[in-house]
Amino acid sequence: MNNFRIIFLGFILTFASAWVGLAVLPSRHFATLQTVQDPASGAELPPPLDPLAQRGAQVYLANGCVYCHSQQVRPADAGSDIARGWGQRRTVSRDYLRDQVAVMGTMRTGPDLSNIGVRNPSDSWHLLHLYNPRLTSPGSTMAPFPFLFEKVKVGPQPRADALSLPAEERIPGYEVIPTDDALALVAYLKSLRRSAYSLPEAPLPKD
Amino acid sequence: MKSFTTPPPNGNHFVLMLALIFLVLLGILASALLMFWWAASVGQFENIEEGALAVFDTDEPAGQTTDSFPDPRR
Amino acid sequence: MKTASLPYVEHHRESLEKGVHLRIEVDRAARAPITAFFVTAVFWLLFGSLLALVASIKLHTPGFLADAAWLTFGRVRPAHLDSVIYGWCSAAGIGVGLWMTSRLCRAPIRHRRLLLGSAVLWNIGNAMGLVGVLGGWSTSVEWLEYPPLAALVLTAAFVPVMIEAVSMVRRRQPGHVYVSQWYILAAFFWFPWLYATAQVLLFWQPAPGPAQPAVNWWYAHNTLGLWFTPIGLASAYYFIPKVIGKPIHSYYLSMVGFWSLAFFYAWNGMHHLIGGPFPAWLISVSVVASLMMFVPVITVAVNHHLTMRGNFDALRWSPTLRFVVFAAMSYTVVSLQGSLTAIRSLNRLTHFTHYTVAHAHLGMYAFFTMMMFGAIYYIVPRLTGREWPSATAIKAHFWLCGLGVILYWVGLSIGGFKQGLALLDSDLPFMETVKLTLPYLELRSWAGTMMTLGHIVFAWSLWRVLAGRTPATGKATLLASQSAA
Repeated sequence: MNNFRIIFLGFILTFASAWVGLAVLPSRHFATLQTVQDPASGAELPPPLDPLAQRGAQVYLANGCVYCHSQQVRPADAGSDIARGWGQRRTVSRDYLRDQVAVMGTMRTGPDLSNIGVRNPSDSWHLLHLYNPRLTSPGSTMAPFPFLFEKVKVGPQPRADALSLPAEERIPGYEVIPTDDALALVAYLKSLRRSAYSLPEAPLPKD
Repeated sequence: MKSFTTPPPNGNHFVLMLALIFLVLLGILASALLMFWWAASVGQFENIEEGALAVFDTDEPAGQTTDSFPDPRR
Repeated sequence: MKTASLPYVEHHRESLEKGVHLRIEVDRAARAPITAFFVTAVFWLLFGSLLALVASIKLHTPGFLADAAWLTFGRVRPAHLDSVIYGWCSAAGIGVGLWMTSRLCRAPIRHRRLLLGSAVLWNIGNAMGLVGVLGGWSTSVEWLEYPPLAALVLTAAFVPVMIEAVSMVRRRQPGHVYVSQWYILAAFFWFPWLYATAQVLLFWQPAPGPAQPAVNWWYAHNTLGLWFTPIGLASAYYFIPKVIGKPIHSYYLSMVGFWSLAFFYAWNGMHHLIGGPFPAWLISVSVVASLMMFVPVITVAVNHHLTMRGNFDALRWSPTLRFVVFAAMSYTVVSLQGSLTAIRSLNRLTHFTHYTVAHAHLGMYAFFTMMMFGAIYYIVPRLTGREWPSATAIKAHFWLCGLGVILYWVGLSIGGFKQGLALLDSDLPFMETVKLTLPYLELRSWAGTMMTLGHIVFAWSLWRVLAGRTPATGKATLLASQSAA
């Protein structure tokens, strides 16, 4: 076999078929997906993110949270996601319609976060956890994010947004307060309630 | 796992587009098969095994090895 | 096989002198550009190895270098990934691919300055990309974390590579085209198509959120299968026969291998998303295609084994061959493992675990990286006319990296497998799944240290050759002086 033109044509065609099938087709297919209306409240599903949560999504991307945390709930026959309480139902395509960058993830060094806003809506927990994960979760190997926080000198009154650190973590004369990025990230995490509502193609189980 | 259980959004337009894309895929597959048939008919598949000798040349012929470790005394 | 009837000689009635002259011209023309790509590659190998160690340690010792934003795990990990994929693996692949094409076409590289510019741009693109990732501008799309501007620079850098490849193919001496040439030319077209599509559909004209992981993993898996694998296989097909002096066992099988790879591999990508929110047909197509990969993989394995049969003692005296055969065997193992892992019942256990990371390193390191080491050991003396400085250094490199990656793969696979079993047990608290992986993650750091030491030894050897501090090779320079008259 010595005709390069034929070989060239061959490998272009084989590639083109999968290019159409796996890249172009899904892009076009999902472009037709729309939000739906919640029959009870009339709200749009999936709901839009507020501006602070949108900024938080950028912080999530910039710091690579996706490399340890997934955001997809698999059906019961494909894994233990639902049994672990990570969602009441599997996530479907429509649940990611609002994502500028879909961070479904491929590693679970840490738990799945699809519905972390349902499991854990506490601002103070999230802030403390981000500052030093081992303060809320002993045994965790998650990276601490001290650079999302600032140390400020203690004033006449303790600040309302200062973290309440345990005694051995406190820095004498200083308080630790969250930066805007930290607050945004927490807003984003709290917005993650991906399979907390019913969709026509994925109703919540009735119980 | 089930795929969508409700009618696809945008109804007929979606089905038309899907059909079009599958036709394209079929067309690509057909051309690939045609190409193989053509190649066979012009003798591209004759004397196949000669191709294996293309790595050798006149001063590095088949039967001669061409690699070694550098002098171990260094 | 008969040694007397060489179709090349028969077609052209070539004299020994002319053949030698042609080969020396090829190697001489390749010297500057290919060396530039190899130096680029080894630099990023060292950089990427350092990042790898930092990332690995952070996973079991999260307090390590934890204060700086630019070193947080979520930035260091993608920085490692991209610097070794684009900085080391791709640059080495370009250098090896261009040289093999030049040799097999018997056409000297013509656009030397353009390719030197290409190498410079390749470095700039990677540097920009890594500053971006570490600086907090990562796209967070796996394998595509470089900010789009850096990606544009890399794309521009690749254009001269394609131009030169096509130029050499068009100028080739008549005769049979070898399988390595098809693989390399295909790879040189598939990769930019993949990269450009991914950049457009993810960043410039982004597809809707739900479609993005499909595009992402179509890109990432195909980069593995249609960029790195073809160059790795092309190298095995070239260096095994070239070193032992025996042609590949069955050229027909090599064709079967090429076309089945071209046809099936491109459909594999969705097996990274099994269980995910995608139409069932999309996932199923990839599972089937993943299993069909048995065809090209077994074809290649049989072909290489039957070629090597009776010649395994060559592993003792050939530095290149030990790396290449290690790599070729790893290719078989990682591919069979990959096909099996795509089966849904096994996938539900291994998905999301360190098992996948171990699998990825078996492919990109035990196969591709070791193959590139072998190729570079063969090529550099022929480019420079100088020998490697030390047989001990080469052996140390081989054992440090070979044993290192085996330790890595075995340890982390076991850890990942156990992690998967634990994850499936919903009664087991999540923290338990984390705890049980710690000893395997520490083992991985040790393995990675061994591999990094091997890289340092390799870099030293390369530096000694390029600095002209090693003796001249006997054959090439001797023949050059004979034919220069």
